[in-house]
Parts: sequence; C-alpha cells; structure tokens
Amino acid sequence: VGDRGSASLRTAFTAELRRILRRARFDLVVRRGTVGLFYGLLPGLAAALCAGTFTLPFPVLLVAACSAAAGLAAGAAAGLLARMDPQAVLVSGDRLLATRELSSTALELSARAAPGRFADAVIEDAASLLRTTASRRFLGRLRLPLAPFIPLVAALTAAALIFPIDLRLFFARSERERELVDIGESLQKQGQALENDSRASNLGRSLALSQELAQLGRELATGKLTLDEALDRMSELEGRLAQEYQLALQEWRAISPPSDYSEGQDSTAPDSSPPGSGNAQPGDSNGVQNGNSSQDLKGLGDALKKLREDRRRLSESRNQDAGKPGSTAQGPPGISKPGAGTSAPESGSDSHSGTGSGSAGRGKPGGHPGEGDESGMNAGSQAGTAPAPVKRGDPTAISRGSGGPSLKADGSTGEGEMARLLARSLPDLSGSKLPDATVLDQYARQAESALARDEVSQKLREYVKGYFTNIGMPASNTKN
Amino acid sequence: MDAREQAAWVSDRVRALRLEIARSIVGHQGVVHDVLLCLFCSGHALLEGVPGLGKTTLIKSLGQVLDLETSRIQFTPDLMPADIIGTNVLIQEETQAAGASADTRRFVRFQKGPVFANIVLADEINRATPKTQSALLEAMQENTVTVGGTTYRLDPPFIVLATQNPIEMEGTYPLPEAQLDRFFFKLTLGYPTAEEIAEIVDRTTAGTPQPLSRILDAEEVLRIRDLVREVPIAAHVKAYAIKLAMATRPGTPAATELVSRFVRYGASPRGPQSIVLGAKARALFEGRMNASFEDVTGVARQALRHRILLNFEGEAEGISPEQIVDDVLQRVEPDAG
Repeated sequence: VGDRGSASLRTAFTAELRRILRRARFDLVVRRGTVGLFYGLLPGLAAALCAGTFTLPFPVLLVAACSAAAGLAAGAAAGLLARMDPQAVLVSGDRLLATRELSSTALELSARAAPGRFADAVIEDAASLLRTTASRRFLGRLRLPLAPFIPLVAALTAAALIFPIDLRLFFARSERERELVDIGESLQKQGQALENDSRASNLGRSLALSQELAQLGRELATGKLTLDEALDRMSELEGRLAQEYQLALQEWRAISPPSDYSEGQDSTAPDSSPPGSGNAQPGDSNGVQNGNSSQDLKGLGDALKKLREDRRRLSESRNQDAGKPGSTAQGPPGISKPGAGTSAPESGSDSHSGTGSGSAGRGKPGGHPGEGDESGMNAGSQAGTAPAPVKRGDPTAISRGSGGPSLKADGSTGEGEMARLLARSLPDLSGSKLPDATVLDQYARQAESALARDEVSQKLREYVKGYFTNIGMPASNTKN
Repeated sequence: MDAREQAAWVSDRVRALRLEIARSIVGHQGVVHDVLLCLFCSGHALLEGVPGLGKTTLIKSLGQVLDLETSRIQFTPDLMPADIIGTNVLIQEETQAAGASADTRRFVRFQKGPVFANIVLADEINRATPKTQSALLEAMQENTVTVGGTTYRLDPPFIVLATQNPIEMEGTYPLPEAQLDRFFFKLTLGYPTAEEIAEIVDRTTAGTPQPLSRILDAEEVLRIRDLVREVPIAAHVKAYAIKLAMATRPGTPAATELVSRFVRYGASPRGPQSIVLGAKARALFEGRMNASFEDVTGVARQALRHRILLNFEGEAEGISPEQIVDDVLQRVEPDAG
C-alpha cells in the first residue's frame, strides 16, 4: 500500500511538473520574443540617430519595423528551441518563490530508488506547490534589456535637442525624393573625389568648389533641399564651376605650347575638346605636360559634366511632375544637351572622338533650336561678355521660342577670350530661338572682329576659321 | 507517526528545549540553537568567549534539560591525559574465608575518567597543554577511549562541549589543528546587552534558582539524530555546500581573492560534512523536511571558521577567519541547477 501511495504521489508530481513545463515553454517564447523585439528596436533607434547625417537606403520606420520583427521572430524561435531543463526550472522557481528548494528536492527524490523517510511528504508538498502556482512565477519577472537603450535614447534625445529632427526621414520617400537622394549621393561623391584631387594636387582653386559640390550633394541626399531649391543651387554652382573650368582651361593653354594640344588634330582645339573629355587628354602622350593644371581641368570638367547631367535629370523630372510631357525643352534655360554643344566638358567625347572633323557645335541631327548648335554659336558670339546670369527660366518658354534671358548673337564684342569661353560653358538657351542660318553671318562677323585683334594668334585664327567652315559658313565669310 | 508528524515533533521538542534553557541563560539564543544543532548532529562544539559570558552555565543547563549523564573537566596547565580519559589502577582486595587465613588479591582495574559521560564539558580547554588537549581526539572522533591496549566504547549520545578563552590571552595554548577540525561548530559568545545584563543580575541576585525540567532523554536524542540524517538534501544544495568549502582553499579556482591572499589552509572534508549535516538539522528544527540553500548559509559560518588557517600575512593584517568566511559567502553563488 505504501509503495502504491508513493507511486501515485510521484505520478501526480510528474504530471504537475509537465504542465508547468508546457506553460513555462510558452512563457519563455513570449519572453524571449519580447526581449528580441527590444533588441530589434536598436537598429531602428540607431537609424533614427543616423538619418540626419547619413543617407539611408530605407525610411527609418521601415528599418525599425523590419529589425523589430526580426528580433521578435528570432527571440520567439530561440524560446522554442531553448532546452528546458526541469531541474533548472524548479531551482529557479524555488528561488523566486522562496520555497526553500522544495520542488527541486522533490524532483530529485522522485527519481531515487530509495528516497528515504521524508521523500513522500516532500513530493506531496511539491506537487501541491506546483498545482497552486502560476507557471510564469517559476520563470521570474520579465526583465527587459534596457541597458543598451539608455545611451541610445539619451543620444537620440540630445541629438533631437541640438539638431531638430526632420520627421520626413521617418517615412518612405517619394519617387522624386529618391531621385534627389540618388543625385545628391552621386554629387557628393563627385565633390569628394574632386576635393581629394584638389588636395592631392594642391589646387586651392578647385578645393572650395569641390567642397561646395559635396555639400550640395549631402544636402540633397539628406532631403534638406526641395526640388526648386536644388535646381537653383545646382544652377548657381554650375555657373561657378564653368567659370573655374574656363579659367583652368586658359591657364592650361597658356602654359602649354599649341603643338601639345593641336598636334595631329588641328580641328579639335582644346576649348572645343577640353582636356579630360576629348582627344587632347592632358597628360597622355599627346597632352600637356603640366600635371596640376591638366588635373584641375579634368576634375572640373568631370564635375561640371556631372552637375549638368544631374540638373537636367531633375529638371526633366520636375517637368514630368508638372504634367508637361513632351516639352521640347531639354532642361531649364542654360542647360545644353549632352554632346550637343561645344560647351566644354560635354562636347569632346562624343562628337570629336578621334575624328578631328571639327563637328563640335553641331547639335543632333534635327535638334531643336536652342540646343547645342545655337549654344555653340552663342559661344562664339558672346566673346568678351560677362558671365551670363545663371537663372532657371521657364522651360516652356524655350519651346515657345520666347522668354528667358537673352544670349543672342548681338552680344558685345571683345573683352578677352576668357569671357568668350565662359559663355560657351554656360549655354543659356533661353535666347536661342532663331534658326542658325539667320545668325551665322552675324556670328562670323563678330568672330572675325574678335580674331582681328593682335593678341590672337594665327593658329587660333585658323582654328576659328576652320570651325565656321565646318559648320557650313560660306568661305567668304570666314576669310580673314 | 508519519514523516510530517515526526518533523513537527522534532521542531516542537527543540522549541521546548530552547525555552527551558532560556530560563537559565539570558540571551545567546543563536548559540543555544547551534549547540543543539551539534547535539543532534553527533558533533562537538567549541565555544569561545571571554570569561563570564555564561559558557559553562549554558552547557550545564543543557545537561539538565537532557536526561543525560554530564561531566565537567576544568582544564589547567598541569592536567594530564589520564585525568581525562581515566587510568588503570591497582586494586588490592582482602578476602577471608571462614577458618582460613586472610587472602589478598591484587588486580588492575580501569578507572574511567570524566570523558565517560554523555555530555562532557571541557572548560577552558586551551589552558591545558596540547598533549592533554589531544587526549580527547580519539573520544571525539571515534567515540572510544583506548587505555593500555584496551578500547572502551563511550555510551551514546556523546558530545564534547568545550569552552576556550580567546587565544591571545595569557596562559593559553592554541588547540592543535587536528583537534580543532574535530569540532563540528565553533561558536563565539558576545557580550550581552544592557537589558540582558539587567535580567542576569535580577535572576542571580534574587530568589532561589529553580531547577530546569528534563525535556528529552537519551533515547529521544538518538531518535532525533536518526531523523536528521534522513532529511533529504538536493544535489545542487549539496554542491553549493561543497563549493563554499572549496572556496576557502587557496589555489583552487573557486578561491576568492581574500582566500588566495590570506589563507594557508582551507576547510578539510569535515567542513562540507558539517555544513550538510547542520543544514539538515536546521531544516528539521523548523519543521521542514528538506535542506535548502538558506540552511547551508545559516550554518556555514559556524562550520568553516575554525577550519581556516591563516598565513603570516593574514595574521599580520589582522584578518579573522570570520572575515574570510563572510567573504566566501558573499561571493560564492549557488549554481542554477
């Protein structure tokens, strides 16, 4: 009878223990899941901290939600897979419940062959304890891992106090915002690359501009600029870059013998096929020997080209958003189509490559007025003018052939080559509305007048003459 | 009586004993409790304290409440081992039959010493020489006495309750480590509070002291001893007791920084033995039928402090074994199971 009583006591104890373990498993899954959720929030917090400084590929809320979900799932899985030792559960429960090792001793006694005089009483008491105690009490109170959060929350709070947080960073970006971010990132990289080159070559002139370019990119990437602001800033910077580019180009030409850049390609002058983008690569076998100058020129040319492309992208994007598809305007006034104009950074690589044909300045076949052809001609006609104001006009005005700042061929003549080249690098199309045939003669006259000056070398005169010949001017008009 | 009733009976008897002893001893509740633990664990207790704190009174009271034979040995520097364990004496008997001349018969007979009692009070044990102190070794460990090649068994229950004055006092001999190790617990008596002193003064200066009632007899004491050994202790609780003892040994992974620095020898295997048995008895005293971590920590100090031998640096720094044990208790945690 005693043995049967002991056996029934042990059976009852074991049944209660199994029940407790089942519930404890559930509790463990919930607890580990909760802990995992908290840990999963850490990347979200970190992303919130970084969002104002760095460009994130995803919105902060998405990062937080995904990482929290991942943490929850991982924690729950860990709870499911964790080995649940009955002895450990009961030891923990005894400690938490202050039952003085009653249940853990009972577990041990229930497995003994000769448990001793007090075994049955202990097992019975333990079974009663298990029956009347909630399973979660055996696992103790849930302690959330708050330690990693305290410094992060403090840092987030401090950052929010010092730098007001842009709440837009927490939400998904629109298509345009994403495009802005992409462009901003690429500009930032370009600016940084240029800055590095400038530092490496000790080129103070390019350094400031490169830093501004990187800053513009950073602001774009972090969503601090609207589209309009971005376009304004880009236009302004583009103008200054172009100016710097032309200065660098002049410098390069001044210190490089003409034979260095004209050898074997008479029709591809440095200004129409600029170093770094055309055949006359400074530093290559046919290029100039002055490394710093050519490096400066190449970097500026690349940056300018990139900036111009990006601005065109943005402008097109804005036009599309404004519901004006099909506009023939290729961008805001002042932006020439890539490869279409003689504008320095863009012209050489496509249209001049190795040909020496002097086709620079030609637009695409059938190109719209206001594209490269005219900007190229503007370049010739604008010699000596001050840099054209960089201003975004109404793109529709271009398609209508009216409006926008005028850069027509009636510009004043002759204050030096720099201004002429500057105008070529700032092709403002807002005034290019006349067919080329109507202005070519005027351009030719102005070019002749400019070339008649003493300081213009014979070689340059020949080059200009060849240029106008190539674009279809009558020979009589180009005779010097 | 089933197990539950037996546990309750033990708890009740112990409570009655403590109440009865409290009639003659003011304060020292903890010491009384620990002495009873020693009694029911078949262990011996060493009580340390300055003179006049009631050590002897406590032990005499214990002898009175238990229906056991008690003896008292006052240790002095000239006390000899034979004065404790007894000696063979030559007996001469004259017998005279009717009409015959007187016949003288001589024989040797063992004269039992005071150690042949159930409760032996070894008063001021550290005033005797080490040789005399060691005379108790066999009795304490084996419960036997060997004299002249003959071994005599001591009647159970046998318990030695020794008192000693602090070692640094004049005219004392430190107990040998081997003998110290044989004491189950070392208990220290502190000074009573002002209220307790007032109570002592009242009791001893007015009226006639009433004799104490007998609460338990030898058979009941032995029965409780058996019950104590039946109390189960879980493996992880036992492991904790062992871990505590191991932590007092320098050079072991469990040793604390204080132990490594100031201890020459840690607790012997008798340390964890005492802890586990004391924990079982402590649980039973409270009517519980299993030993717990709390029981282990409740007796660890008494069981370990006299088993720790400090090194020179520890002595020079004034470190006490109690500090070492406290440090161990504070730093060593039970395993999770």
